[in-house]
Amino acid sequence: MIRMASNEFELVDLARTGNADAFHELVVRDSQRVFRTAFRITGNEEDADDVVQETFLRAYRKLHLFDGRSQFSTWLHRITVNCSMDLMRKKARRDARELSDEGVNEVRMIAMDPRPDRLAASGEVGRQVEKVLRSLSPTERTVFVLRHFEGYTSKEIGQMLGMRSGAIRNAVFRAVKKMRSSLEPMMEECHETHKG
Amino acid sequence: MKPIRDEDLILHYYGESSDPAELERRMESSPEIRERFEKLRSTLDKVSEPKVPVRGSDYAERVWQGIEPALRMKPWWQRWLDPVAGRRWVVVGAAASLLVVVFLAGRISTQLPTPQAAELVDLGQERDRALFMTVANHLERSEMLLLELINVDVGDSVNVASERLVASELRSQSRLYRQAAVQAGQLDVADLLERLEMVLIELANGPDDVGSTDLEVFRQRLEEGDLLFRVRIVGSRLREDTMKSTQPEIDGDSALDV
Repeated sequence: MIRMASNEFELVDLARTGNADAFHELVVRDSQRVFRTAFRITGNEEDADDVVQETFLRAYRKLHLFDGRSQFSTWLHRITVNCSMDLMRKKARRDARELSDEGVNEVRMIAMDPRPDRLAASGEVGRQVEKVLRSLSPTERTVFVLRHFEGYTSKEIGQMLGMRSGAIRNAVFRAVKKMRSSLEPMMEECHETHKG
Repeated sequence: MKPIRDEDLILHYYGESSDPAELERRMESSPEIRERFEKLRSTLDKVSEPKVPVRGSDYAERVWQGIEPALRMKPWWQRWLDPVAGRRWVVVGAAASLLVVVFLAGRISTQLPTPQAAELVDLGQERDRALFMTVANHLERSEMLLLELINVDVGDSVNVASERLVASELRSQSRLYRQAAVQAGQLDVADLLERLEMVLIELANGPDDVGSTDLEVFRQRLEEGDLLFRVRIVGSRLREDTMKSTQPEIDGDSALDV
């Protein structure tokens, strides 16, 4: 019966009636995609695995709220994004508690320090991008990932996160500014080196 | 003519400019704007997605095994309605009765002519513990809000509409907790909550868009007044006090008695 249920709407309908096999099939279809989104946002494999589990649990418990106006995968993506951001916020709160004032500032300065001489020599733009991503606030990082890597518009992201487009755009501006202030000195240095 | 800000160029890069044709015209007529945009594009084009680790073909099964036990469980309200779990209602009833007693004792304790000292101490501790935990959570949320504002990077201005909403909510709570702290004799906590309340009022009543100068002044005031530091320290202390008071006494004097 499950194999015959060719589309996700049929599977969702079956899962709503308590059919575990149907929900299992949805997990099979979507778990890799959910993991990819969770990893992009959290930047950490273990966290992403936790998010995947939490996403499917939350989806199962809220299945009765899925109205079928969008694809199930779209609805699931929205849950994934919110689970990821919730987890990052929890971690940020914990980190803030653990670090002293000086500690927070020190960590932040290290995270934002582009150290152009070293990085230009190594040419590790990708590593620097990851470093900047880690230094962003949970909201900035989530919004930037959705805007820059996944191509969602500010309006769509606002709907996903329950925030206004203006706030989303501000988060994008802040993230881009941090990216630029970290990458551009390094790129200029590389450029100078090549010219020399 | 309206100046072109970096924010306009960023929106244009992502295809979200409100008037892309106008921006293109401006770039054609101004090499400086064109150069700024090309620099932005060159940087953002290099920001490629970090490599996502590959999960094996058995990944879905592993996920399923992780969540299946939880899916088999009935929702909490069904579990409570289960007749086998009827005894839980006895516990719930007892807990509810205790809460009512604690609440009433808090309300009328000052009117009792001859209170039983030990009982009142217990009830007072219970009330204090609930207050400590609530205030600790409140301070944590406030700290997150202040940190968010401190770490925000601004160009000409920043939109803080969502932060204002949070500040407004926290302000109302702060006032209530301050009154409760005064009644509980926690004057240092009450003092901190009052200072926090002033900042939250300022934020909640401020404009949606804050200029970089105003934000810098706000940051400096927070740093000079040591408010954030105290919010963090008092929050941790209250949380620790709550944890200590909920742990059984197995060390110290009571352990020596054994």
